[in-house]
Amino acid sequence: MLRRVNAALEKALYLLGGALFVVFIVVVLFQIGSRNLIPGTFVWTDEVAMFCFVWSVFLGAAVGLRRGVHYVVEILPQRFARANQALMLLALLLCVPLIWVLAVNGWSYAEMSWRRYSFSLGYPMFYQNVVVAIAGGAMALFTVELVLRCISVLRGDKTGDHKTGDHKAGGHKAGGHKAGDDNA
Amino acid sequence: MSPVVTLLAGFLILILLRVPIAFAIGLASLAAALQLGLPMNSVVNQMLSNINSFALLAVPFFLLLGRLMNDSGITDRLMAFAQSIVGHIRGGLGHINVMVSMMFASMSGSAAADTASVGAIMIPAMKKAGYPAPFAVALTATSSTLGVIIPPSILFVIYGAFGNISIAGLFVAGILPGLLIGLGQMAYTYYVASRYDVANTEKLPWKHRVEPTLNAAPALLIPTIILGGILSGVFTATEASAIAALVGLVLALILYRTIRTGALFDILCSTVVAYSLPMFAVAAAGIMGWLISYMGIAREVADFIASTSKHPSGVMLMLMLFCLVIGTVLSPITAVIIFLPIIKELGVLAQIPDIHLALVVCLSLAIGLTTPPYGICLLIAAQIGEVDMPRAFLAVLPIVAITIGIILLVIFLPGVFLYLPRTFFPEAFPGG
Repeated sequence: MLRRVNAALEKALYLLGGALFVVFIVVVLFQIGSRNLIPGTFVWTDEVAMFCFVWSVFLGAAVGLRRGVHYVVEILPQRFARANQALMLLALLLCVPLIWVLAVNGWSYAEMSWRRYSFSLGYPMFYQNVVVAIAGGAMALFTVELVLRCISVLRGDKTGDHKTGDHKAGGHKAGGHKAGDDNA
Repeated sequence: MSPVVTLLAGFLILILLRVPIAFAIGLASLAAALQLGLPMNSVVNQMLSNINSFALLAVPFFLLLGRLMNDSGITDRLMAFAQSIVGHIRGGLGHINVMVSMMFASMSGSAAADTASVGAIMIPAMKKAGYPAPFAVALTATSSTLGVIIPPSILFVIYGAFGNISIAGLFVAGILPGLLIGLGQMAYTYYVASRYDVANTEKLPWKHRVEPTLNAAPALLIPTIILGGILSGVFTATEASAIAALVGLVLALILYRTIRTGALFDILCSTVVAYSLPMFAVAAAGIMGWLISYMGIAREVADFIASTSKHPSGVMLMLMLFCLVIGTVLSPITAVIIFLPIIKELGVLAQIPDIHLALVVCLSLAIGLTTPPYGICLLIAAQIGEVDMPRAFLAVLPIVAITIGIILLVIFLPGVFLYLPRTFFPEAFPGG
């Protein structure tokens, strides 16, 4: 049940992130075009671009947690599968306080920003800041699923892997990701 | 236990326990903030305000361009072009590897994207041609780090944005060391190819070089647009990145027709995940950077480094060593966000121009992409080449030594390496 809910949630966040990225691209290109081709500037484009960027970063980070693509330093060689699985479980549990702060304090911070308004469009900053709490909530759900999956694998339940779907068992791989490094 | 110890030791312990790096930064900062009695809402505020920077908007575009280059076959065209130019020289495949990375670097600024795309083709080809596998892996990983140095560099964008330094000035400053490191890597490749007696490919007649050149020509417009636009003042770095991504889209969808319109949305969605990972780390690093400033660590560390040497070159040598060490556990972007207050403080104390300091820092941190445990480029390349990390790391060392040699030149010959930025952007050198 949780797996299906999380799979749907992950898909929704993934698609929403993509849609926001489309808006982001269009707005930035419009901004460049308008600055160079049309007399006058549109300040709102900066705000919309930043709104889309901030939202997509936090939504993408939540998706990345479930997919296990956040970067980790792997100390133990992969042949120590059980020890790595146990470390993975510990790491997930250690992440809980930060996820708690994102969800709970993220929400209280967003509530405090109802009376702060964006500069040009004038919308309450709540709508931008609330994404921290949304990402925190999604990360909490994903973490529960990943923890259960890890426990299941550690117990030797062979079905633990595929029960939970399409990803490796909670693996946060440093080198397996194609183009997502900070690149730099 | 002092909050400083909590912050630094906590971070190290957490990454050893396999906690994702962005989360480890956030958790260690959280613990230190709790000890200092700081409100948790401030932590959220710091995360948000750190990514609320317009210069960061360039990052998604550069990563999208990197993705488009891979998926649309632009990288393959660049390889064919590089082969027609340098393929016949002894060590041809290695030269192609370095040259493609230099061209890729001049478009995308993403080191890991370069390792994944170039490595997938070049590492097996180099192994087959008779190069030692660890060398093929090491060369691919180290040449990819040119993306951090040759403009447009995402690291320079972030350094400039957070350090309040001319991004265009940094871009120009990166050209000469980037070219020298690339040439140094080619020279080393020549030596390895001679030592292992690797056969080279035949020299192509000029008429056979025309086709790959024409095929790659539209893609080669991208760096021209980026650098030309920024240097002429027509575009900001973010705008140049957007135009470059647009050109990449046009090439992929219309000119080369290698990406179907239907597949585009999925590329965009996966690019979001790709850029959200480093940007989430930037958000978390913002908390740590804030705490470092709040606790006055920046001043103390800067004073300590400055006390070991009063001379600017001595200070930069210490800074280079510091960056080489922290680069082993932190990505360059994260390290810059966290330690920029210390670096800036040092610059003021030793009266070093910001751009000079930035060059030394970014070149040194780039090495960290190829050194364990957090050498993401080496990890990717070693996976592709099926080489274990200790052997890959040993093979990396001579190439890293070349980069360190160039950094030393940057430190001791500022007149040469700052000539271009000083000429184009004199306003970036307020002290003259």
